[in-house]
Amino acid sequence: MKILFFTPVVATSAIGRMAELVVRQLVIQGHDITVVRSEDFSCFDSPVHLFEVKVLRWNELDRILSLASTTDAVVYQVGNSYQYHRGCLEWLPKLPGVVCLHDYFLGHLFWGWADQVGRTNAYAVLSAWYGMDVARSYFSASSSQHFIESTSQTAPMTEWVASMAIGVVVHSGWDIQRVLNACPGPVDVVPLAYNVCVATTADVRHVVPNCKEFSQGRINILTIGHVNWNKRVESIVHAVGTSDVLRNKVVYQLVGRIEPDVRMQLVALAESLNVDLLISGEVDSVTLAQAIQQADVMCCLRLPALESASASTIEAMLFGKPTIVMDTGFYRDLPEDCVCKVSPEREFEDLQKTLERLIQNPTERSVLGKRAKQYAETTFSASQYASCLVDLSRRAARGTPVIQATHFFANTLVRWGALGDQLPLCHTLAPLQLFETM
Amino acid sequence: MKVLVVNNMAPFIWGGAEELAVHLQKHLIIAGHDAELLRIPFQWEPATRIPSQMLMVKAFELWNVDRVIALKFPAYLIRHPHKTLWLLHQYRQAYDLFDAGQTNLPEDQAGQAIQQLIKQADGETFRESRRIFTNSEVTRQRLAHYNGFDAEVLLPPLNDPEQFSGATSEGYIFAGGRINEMKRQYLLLEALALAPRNVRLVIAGPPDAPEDASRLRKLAESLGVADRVKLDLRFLARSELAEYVNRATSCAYLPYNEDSLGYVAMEAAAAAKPVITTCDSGGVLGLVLHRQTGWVVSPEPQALAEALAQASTNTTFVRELGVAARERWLRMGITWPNTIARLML
Repeated sequence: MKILFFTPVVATSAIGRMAELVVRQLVIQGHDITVVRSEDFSCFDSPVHLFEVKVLRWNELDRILSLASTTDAVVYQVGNSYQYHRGCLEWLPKLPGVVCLHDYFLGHLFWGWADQVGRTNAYAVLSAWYGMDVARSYFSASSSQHFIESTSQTAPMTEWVASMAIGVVVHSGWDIQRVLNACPGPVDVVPLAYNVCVATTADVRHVVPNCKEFSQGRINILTIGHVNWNKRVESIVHAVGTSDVLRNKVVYQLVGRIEPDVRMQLVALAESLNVDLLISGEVDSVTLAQAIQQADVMCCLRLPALESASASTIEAMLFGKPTIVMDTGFYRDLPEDCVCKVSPEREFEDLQKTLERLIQNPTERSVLGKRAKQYAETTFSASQYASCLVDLSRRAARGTPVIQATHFFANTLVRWGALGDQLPLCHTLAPLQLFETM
Repeated sequence: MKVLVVNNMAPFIWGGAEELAVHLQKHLIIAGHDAELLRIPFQWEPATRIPSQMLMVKAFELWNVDRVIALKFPAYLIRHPHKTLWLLHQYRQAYDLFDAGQTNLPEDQAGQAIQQLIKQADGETFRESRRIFTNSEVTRQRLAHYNGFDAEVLLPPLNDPEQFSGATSEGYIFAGGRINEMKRQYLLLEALALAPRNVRLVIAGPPDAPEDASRLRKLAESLGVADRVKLDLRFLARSELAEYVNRATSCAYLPYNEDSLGYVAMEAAAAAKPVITTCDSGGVLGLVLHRQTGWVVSPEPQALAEALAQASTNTTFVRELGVAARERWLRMGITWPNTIARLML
């Protein structure tokens, strides 16, 4: 199968890393892959993940069009970043294909797109999917936190992307209904492909404070990734700082990008509660792997959950680390005996109790980590992901004539001024049911 | 040139438009073209199913066709880069009949939505057509009024004028054509009841529905005119129809706001028979002039009864009106060669 594979490839993109694994497996399985970089122009000079296939940039229009004329499938890796996925949005309407949806919340992607194409177009999309009231208030958020809080339930923009796809791969089923409602083709849940990045001393390029040395025999709790408010870092600091069992036995480390104001707030909170907080900032993937290797417990909390799957959680499990997650979203699908789940309704109490139990019980940490590793290695397989992606692409291609016919009829009705809530659509659509037999 | 004539098809219903399409194809071939007829099924009841049928037509893709001549809604929605419309019918229930309260569209928002859909689709089709002809001045005016498009009037010729050569009058008035409420044969029966007893009427033609026939028969009985009217309610062979026309003293044709001259009136004129019609009969008035080529009266039984009384007597005056009708018809020059030449310009 000849596949055009749109994805970010910059080294800082976790999706790019996953895409590299999948592309490698697709090639092993005998497919002919051309990668198309989807990042914004500003990323083109940054370090990249290494793909052992031809790599184009999304703005090489003629070459892409030429390849598209002979390709069997087009695949788009789409996540919640306009900077990383701009090329996908540029091409998806022109070259419909299968979307691998990495986030169920795509608000930031949409916002970036809206800045590019203009708010008028954005309002049209918003009002079509969510109504005029939502459209009017969409861009009025005062902060990123407020934006996510106010739109993640009412207008996550999942439907917007799914409706442009001929098929969608999601990595968990927790918010799949929105995708099913919007995508005219097949939708499959396929566990995210991931592997561990094994660190060696020689690989470490950015030296961060060694947590083991810093902790002086204490237990290391680690949270990785961009320090957003929904990662519940404050909750963890509170849980540690208010527990006599935890406070003097734990070092809590953050590895990942962090804004200065957030850093200041967290440092102040930790000091007030006598929590040893180590903030390491953004590091490369090898250094990150080293940090994970050194951790005793991983905290991968999210509230609200926005992603289709969590690379950091999978990575923690692949490293065999006991991992605490929130009982919501993607995390809810993880087996009860492989991770520790914290109820969103009893976040503080559950979190503190779980941490105390794990800190006091090294055997449980070890057993939990082993089970997690075993589960993750068999589940989050790139080979399996590649096979599923090809299968879905074939099924989606078979449905393409039906989708095109549907678009033709829908566009014609709209051009003729049809109003969906007034025209007797049941009678209009009934004859089209013959397509369902295809 | 490869010319595709596109028309509707209502299975087992055959009328003037169907005849016209067949003869258009035939005369295109006579003029040296390759011509075929595409008939697209259309069922207008229930009206809520009209949009899906419009979409079906719009989805068709034509190839190996140089030119399309399309005749009726929704068949004329078909896409082709060189499409000529010879407009016999828009969907009148979305236009003038809608305004007149004689529509089959639902009396709710759904009905209005379908009406708007039809108007917009029509507008798109009229814009993309190379030329638009109408089959009558009435159709042309309706098109201009409701859709804002101008057109050239191209009256349909008689398909078999040689059959309507006239013959000795046998003293009856003949009312041919399809039997339905719009053609108002019931008015003729009501008029007959008020006319002198020597007036005899022949009503012949295919009922649109069995109820149309039974309604007419019951009315004749209830009015006590059954012995003075012959109801030959069936599909007639052309020769049978011509025989009825040729041996009539006069003919009668009372459609409500007919689009065109009407085959019934044209056949009568060709056979030199004067025609009784009403002042609201639309395109028929292009041929029937009061007391010049026939009678134009109000659509009321008493006025029609007086016209029937005059028209049924084989007087010189009546014969002169018939001759004048024939001359008017011939002067119009409505022949197939002329028609094909204009359509294929």
